[in-house]
Amino acid sequence: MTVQSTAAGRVVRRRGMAASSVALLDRENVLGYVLMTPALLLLIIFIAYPFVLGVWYSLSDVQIFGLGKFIGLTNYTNLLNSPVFVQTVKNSFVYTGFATVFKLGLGLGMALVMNQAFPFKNIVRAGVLLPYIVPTALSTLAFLLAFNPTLSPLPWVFGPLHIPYPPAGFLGDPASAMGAVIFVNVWRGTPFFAISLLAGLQTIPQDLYEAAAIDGAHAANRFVHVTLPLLTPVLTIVLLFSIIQTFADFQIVQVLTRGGPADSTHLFATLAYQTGMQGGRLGQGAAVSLFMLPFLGLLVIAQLWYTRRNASER
Amino acid sequence: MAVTTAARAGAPAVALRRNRRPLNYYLWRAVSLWIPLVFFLVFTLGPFWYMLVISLKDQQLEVNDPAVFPFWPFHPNLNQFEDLFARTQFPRWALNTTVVASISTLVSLTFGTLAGYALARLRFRGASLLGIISFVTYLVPQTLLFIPLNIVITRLPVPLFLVTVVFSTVAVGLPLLLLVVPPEKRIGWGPLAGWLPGILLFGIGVALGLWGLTAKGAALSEIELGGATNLSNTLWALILTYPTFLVPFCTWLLTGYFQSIPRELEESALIDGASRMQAMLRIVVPLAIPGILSAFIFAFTLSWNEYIYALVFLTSTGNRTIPVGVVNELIRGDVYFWGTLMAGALLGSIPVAVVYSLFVENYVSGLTAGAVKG
Repeated sequence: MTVQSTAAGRVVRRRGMAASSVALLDRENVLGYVLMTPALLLLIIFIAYPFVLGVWYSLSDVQIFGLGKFIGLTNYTNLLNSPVFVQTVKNSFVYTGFATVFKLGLGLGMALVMNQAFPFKNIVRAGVLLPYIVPTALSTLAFLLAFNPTLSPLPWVFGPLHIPYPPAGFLGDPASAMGAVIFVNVWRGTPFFAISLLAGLQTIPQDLYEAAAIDGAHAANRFVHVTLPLLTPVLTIVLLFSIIQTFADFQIVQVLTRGGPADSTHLFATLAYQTGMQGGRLGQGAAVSLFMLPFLGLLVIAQLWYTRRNASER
Repeated sequence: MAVTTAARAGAPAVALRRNRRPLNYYLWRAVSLWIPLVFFLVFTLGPFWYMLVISLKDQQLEVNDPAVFPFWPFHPNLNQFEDLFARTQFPRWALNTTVVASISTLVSLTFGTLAGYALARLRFRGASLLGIISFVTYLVPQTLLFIPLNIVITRLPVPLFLVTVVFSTVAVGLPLLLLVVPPEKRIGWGPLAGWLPGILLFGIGVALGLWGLTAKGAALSEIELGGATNLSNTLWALILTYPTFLVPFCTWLLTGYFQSIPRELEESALIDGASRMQAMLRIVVPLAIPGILSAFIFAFTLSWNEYIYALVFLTSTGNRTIPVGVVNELIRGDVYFWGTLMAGALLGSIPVAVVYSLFVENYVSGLTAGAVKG
């Protein structure tokens, strides 16, 4: 207390008029709000306000202009009765589920492989993360050509393996189109899993493995009883984060299929874009987006709870 | 020291043992390392090789003929890249993307540093709630709010010139403070001392330039300084909205980083008569530069790569960013110019790849900050 007041006293003597504002800024409960203000202003104008607006729009019949009039839950019940929307809900869970399982499996494998010592390790580690770094919309273009019916290079790969290439291309029929967009998502997201899990693996103390080896544990045992338990915190956080991003994905589907063929690859975001922006039914589009909220909310709460629990344990 | 000597002493022994390794060792090494490693490298980097090959190929002779081996350019040429610059607005999109990504990144870093410091160090009512809010908004995906946000963009009147001056001053001032003036030189100066007027003037200069570049085609002479306008189809729609996902991330990352810096350092500065602001700007921020670099590289890649806001908020061909421009303007109708498309995709990816390769370690530590540190 005395320290603070002498510091303030010196400043007063030195600065005179400006000192009162400086002294005010030295009070933590004033400075705290001052430093938070720019960030908070942005979030209030461009997150909180649009969110409230979005909820209102989803309850109204607004088109391009005006505020529309209140129509209750009609937008939501309309959606639930629309086959396209029901299809979209199914697609979103199929897309998220399959993509996440593959990303987790491949990512864990990649992390374990890269956790060994080998030459040029840093360059390799930097290189494999590229799919996650570069603009997704742009890298997806390579797959747009690769899945093309006539110009695809895949028959050159599939031919020798005697796998038939679908004559309409991979994006031509519903099942293979869903497989194709999932594949691109896995390609993009696996490096994120791998590099995060690799960082997690590197925090596991080596002597634990040595102790387990001395106790006679084989590689598989060591993985199940040492690696997995110690990797779980990282794994959970990476997993939750990835599920949130995958569930709300937009770019890959928008570039490859725009939701087609026959709405078989529509996700919430692409359907919201089609309904709200291209179709001009803003209220309906906002409702499609907001349908993501319960599931996303659960994931965010789980993430928050888990992160804070981990932080308090240390 | 002890470790290095031990390792040196052990080195010949290791070399001897390596000569006697059984065949089994090499087999195991191939199965557990080299084969999967090559598989993962082809899996992750193959598509980039394919893009490069297509962009270099002769389009008529090779790309449009499925009978030609696709993964090698037999008649390499740069025609596609020439077309990209001569026949499309790609250079303009590149300029747009650079402006948007740089300003929104620098502004977000500044706002995030201030907020992160407050959350890490200062005790005030609601601090923990604000911390939770920044974490939650960081997790909210852009696809949740783009429709109502578009309405805010097209209807909310914004004093655009004021915003331009503030944002460019912040964006210009931050690198000046952190890079041009070394930290040891800044100790003993008043709060920003002589720099503030200079930064302000320079910022206004940049603001005028930006205004001409980003506002709705207004010539400099027609500027109404006090006027408010909506943001529809201006780059400011992106510069103002990208920080909504960048600031929460920077705040959250830097809160953690500031907490890892010992309190004693700034407490001794406070005892020596520095104000809180001075202690923050001169002691803590210079020490947090690795964390700030992590936040920078993340924010820059996120804003460079952003797609849905840029697709929805900007409507004219000249106002595109690279991802939207290449995907939506170069694909028109049923005729695909694959070579030009791939050339654009590659060139649009190179800036992020370069920035990333310069700061790989910072990027990875930012990526895993939440996961590993908890």
